[in-house]
Amino acid sequence: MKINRKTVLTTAAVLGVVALAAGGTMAYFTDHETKTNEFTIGSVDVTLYESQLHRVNANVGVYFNSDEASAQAGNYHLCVPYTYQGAPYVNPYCTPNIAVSTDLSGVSAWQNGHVRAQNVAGQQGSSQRGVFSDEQIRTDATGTAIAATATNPGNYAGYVAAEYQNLVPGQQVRKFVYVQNDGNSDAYVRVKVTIPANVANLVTVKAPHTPQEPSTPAGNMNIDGVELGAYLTETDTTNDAGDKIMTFVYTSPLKPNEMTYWSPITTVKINDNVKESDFVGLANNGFGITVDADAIQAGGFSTAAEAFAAYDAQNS
Amino acid sequence: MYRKIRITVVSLVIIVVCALSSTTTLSYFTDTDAKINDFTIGSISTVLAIYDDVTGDGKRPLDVNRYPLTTGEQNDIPFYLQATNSGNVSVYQRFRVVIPIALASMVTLDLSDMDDCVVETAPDYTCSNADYIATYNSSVDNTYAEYYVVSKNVLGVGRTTSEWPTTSIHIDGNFVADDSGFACENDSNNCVLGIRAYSDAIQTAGFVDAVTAFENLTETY
Repeated sequence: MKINRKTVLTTAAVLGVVALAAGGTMAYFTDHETKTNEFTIGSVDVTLYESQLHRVNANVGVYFNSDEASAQAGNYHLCVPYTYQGAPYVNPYCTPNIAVSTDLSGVSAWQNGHVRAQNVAGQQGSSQRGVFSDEQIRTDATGTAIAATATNPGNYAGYVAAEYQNLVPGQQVRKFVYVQNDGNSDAYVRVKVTIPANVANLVTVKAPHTPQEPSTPAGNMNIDGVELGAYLTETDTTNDAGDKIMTFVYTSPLKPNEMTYWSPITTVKINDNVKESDFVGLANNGFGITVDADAIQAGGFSTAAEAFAAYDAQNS
Repeated sequence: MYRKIRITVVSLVIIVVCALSSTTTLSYFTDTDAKINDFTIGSISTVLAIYDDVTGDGKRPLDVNRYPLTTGEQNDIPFYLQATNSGNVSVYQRFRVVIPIALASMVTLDLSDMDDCVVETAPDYTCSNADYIATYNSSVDNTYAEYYVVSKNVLGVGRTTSEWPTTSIHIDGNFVADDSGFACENDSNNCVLGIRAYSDAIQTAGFVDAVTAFENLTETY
């Protein structure tokens, strides 16, 4: 009997399948690929800084000392490009090698947040337009007290120790506050200033950079075309205890590492018409003013008002 | 069967979603930071001292009993005024010597130690030296005659006025000792025969000088 080749192969294949079905394992070519996505969680973290520095009162010139080298060393203000009413402002004193005068007669030094200077032509000026940087504000706001001297403005803690004591009617002291976003999410921020009930009518916290202060035309206060009224809003309320609360909301969110540009307040003043007897009974012969900075994620909100409505609802 | 199971599962999902939406709230990330600053209020206070002897090693407080008055003769009672700032802020300071108007024609305050100052009681009289400005006038209601001796210098905390703008009170021979109206009340230590001395003080902040400052002071008696 002649066996057909085809028959043999077919039989072998069938037998092979039968054998596999009965007890063997077949291998397959395979492949595997993996991808992993890392997700991070946003964070909202703000730091409140209190400073004696008003953002736009930086002297963009040099502080004139007995010689140019000292003057350069004493220059603690950065020459920061500044836009005033939409146009770049370049202060003519903001040059590194300006000739200085050795005649300092009649030149006062650091005074009331301004630096006075005199050039070789004998011209005196103070507080040329300029801007304190975020770093300068942070430096001023932190650290142990450094008292002001004729050549050094000291820092905020030093200013508080010297100037916040023994206040009399009509006297006013500097107080500027800034908020920095230290988180990694955009955040809306607001500042609340609380004046205790027992001095609410005796003390004024000045907030001149808001629409509520009619003496400050909005057109005089703008940064790169953004008018102040669109930058900051103020609402004054009184709580059940009679404390006056000034609430300032920044209308645009802060990006991570960004600091608010304007301080919503500038000074604390003892009102002109108060009497010493009005303050009788104050604990420690004084009063405290509290500043709170609140922040909420910007994501999910189209306006600051909406954001802080949610903030208050969540924290009520 | 399969369709029935699928309907059941969908129903359960819907129920769960409805349950979630009715009981949970979306929360937001927030943060807050706060700072508090303490402010203290200044106090203004001066202590007045009147001496009748400032020579030697010490200053002797005035005792009017040492100086009995004699009618028909001029009487001089030593009257050295000094003030100390006992408050916690620097002040402008002045002395105010108040004489009942009935005595005014017989009583003068000797300012002769103030360099070119002389005893003078003409209305609006004024004189001065390096440290003081003295004026004489009647009160608005003409109840008193008043000497004002204003210190030109700021009086620092704990400091004492410089010496001596006044030396004595002259009481001329026309004076008749009479208790009515001239006695000092309540054994006051700033009073001689109804003539009273005061030390007034006012904050320096807000004023360019002492004279301007005292224009804003309301007097008390």
